[in-house]
Amino acid sequence: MTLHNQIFDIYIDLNITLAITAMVWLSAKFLLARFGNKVDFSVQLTLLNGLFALIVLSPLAVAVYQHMLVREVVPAALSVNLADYAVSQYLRGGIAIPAEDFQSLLGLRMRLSDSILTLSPGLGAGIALTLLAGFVYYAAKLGVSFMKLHRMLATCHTWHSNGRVHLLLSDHALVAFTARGLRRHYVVIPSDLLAQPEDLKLVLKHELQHVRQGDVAWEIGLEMMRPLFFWNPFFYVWKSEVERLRELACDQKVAESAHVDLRAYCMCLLRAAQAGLRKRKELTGRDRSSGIAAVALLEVQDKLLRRSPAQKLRRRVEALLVTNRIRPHWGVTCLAVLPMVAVIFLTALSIQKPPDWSQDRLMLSAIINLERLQTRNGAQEQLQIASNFGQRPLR
Amino acid sequence: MRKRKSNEFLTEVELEFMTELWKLGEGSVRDILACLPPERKLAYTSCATIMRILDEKGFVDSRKEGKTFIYSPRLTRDTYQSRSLRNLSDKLFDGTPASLVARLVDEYELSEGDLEEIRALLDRRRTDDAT
Repeated sequence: MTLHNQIFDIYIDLNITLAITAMVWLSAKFLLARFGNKVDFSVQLTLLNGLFALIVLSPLAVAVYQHMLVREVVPAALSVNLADYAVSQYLRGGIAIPAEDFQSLLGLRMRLSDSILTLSPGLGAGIALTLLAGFVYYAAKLGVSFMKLHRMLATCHTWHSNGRVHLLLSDHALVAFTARGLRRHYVVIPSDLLAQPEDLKLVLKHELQHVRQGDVAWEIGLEMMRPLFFWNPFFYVWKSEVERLRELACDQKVAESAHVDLRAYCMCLLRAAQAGLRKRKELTGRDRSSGIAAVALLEVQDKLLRRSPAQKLRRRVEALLVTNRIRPHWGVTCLAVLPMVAVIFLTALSIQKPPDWSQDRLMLSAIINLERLQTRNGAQEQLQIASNFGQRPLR
Repeated sequence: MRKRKSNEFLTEVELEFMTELWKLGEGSVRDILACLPPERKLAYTSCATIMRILDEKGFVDSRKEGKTFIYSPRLTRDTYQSRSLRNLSDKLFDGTPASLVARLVDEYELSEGDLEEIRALLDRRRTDDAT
């Protein structure tokens, strides 16, 4: 297997693992909602970010596990492979299709990968070009966003600096947002907010909570993955979940603070949205983007195939009104996380290509050969019968 | 010396501060704060920040008198009005001031006196141009 094949396999495995994990997450969310459980948003966000890190690291974990299998540190019986499982089910009669069709189904991914990597005319070349074009487009978009953000930060006025956190004032920012460089964190506040001291305090609390939660780093991580996952709908589901939870977690933390009046905070969000929309109209197309590598107080821009900013704001206010959210004990959280981690690891492991020929695969191959032999013998018999009767063989 | 950041226009709050400074001629942060309506409840530090930004943008000059900064406008109200109108005319009226004036006349209920004043202004301008 060439290096290209290996890299492409890891790429496909990552996409499958992300899809399966997203489905597990959505199922868990559905079940929790069904039983009326209101789990703390910070716990949910930590969980979601942790699972994403596990997805990204899953190829490494699989490589280590397979190395341990080869070195016989882990017994061969503990090897998990979906293709091997399917073959054993086929041999037991659990799958009722002709052996040759089953073999062809098993080799589908390999054939597709080969046709993409060799740019074979038709489907293979089409998919390869789409993947390449998407990668280049989203990577370029990410680069442009970083540059735009850099330019915007350069036009801001420094307000205060405390350690690595820099508070900046901007005339062009639609709403407050948090960004970061390699070492510094930047909280950008629309300069008009200086004239509203009460709102300014609440907005600062919210944005500094983003800094504490490390939301910008996760946002950058997710955006850097977009060129790889751009065609995967589950990536967008995942991103939307992270965006929703990080705002809700920040809102919750600010609202929990003893000095914050819940009504005042909701009104502050509403005023910030109104000011953002007003400014959006004023700054049509010019200098209004806060860039990708940033986390905004709220959305005021409509996005394709996404909930409107008004709907999102409404949900945030509704979520704020639900108090007494459950913060489970870390032991209970671990117990809930463990099956999810197991699913990620098992998914990543089971979709790997089998290392070599197993007994079952040899058996399947023998069945295919026997079927072929039988077909050939049947055709010869027909030919003989036809010649005996002086007729042309039936086709 | 602090680096100046060029920005041709003022935000709403900055304009409010500049309006007071134009009236005062020059003044400290406390002077400007005293001119603002009491319901604004602005913190001294916020006002000082706004004045610092105006200094960075090049709208005001500052000098130190003891421990206090005294600010004075670098451009007149008329100059800023012209700049803003030119910007409005360029952006919204495709650089044709006549359309801007036409919209003004249409939108505002101008009294006979206002119209007479405008007419006199145009006549004066025409005479000046002829000489």
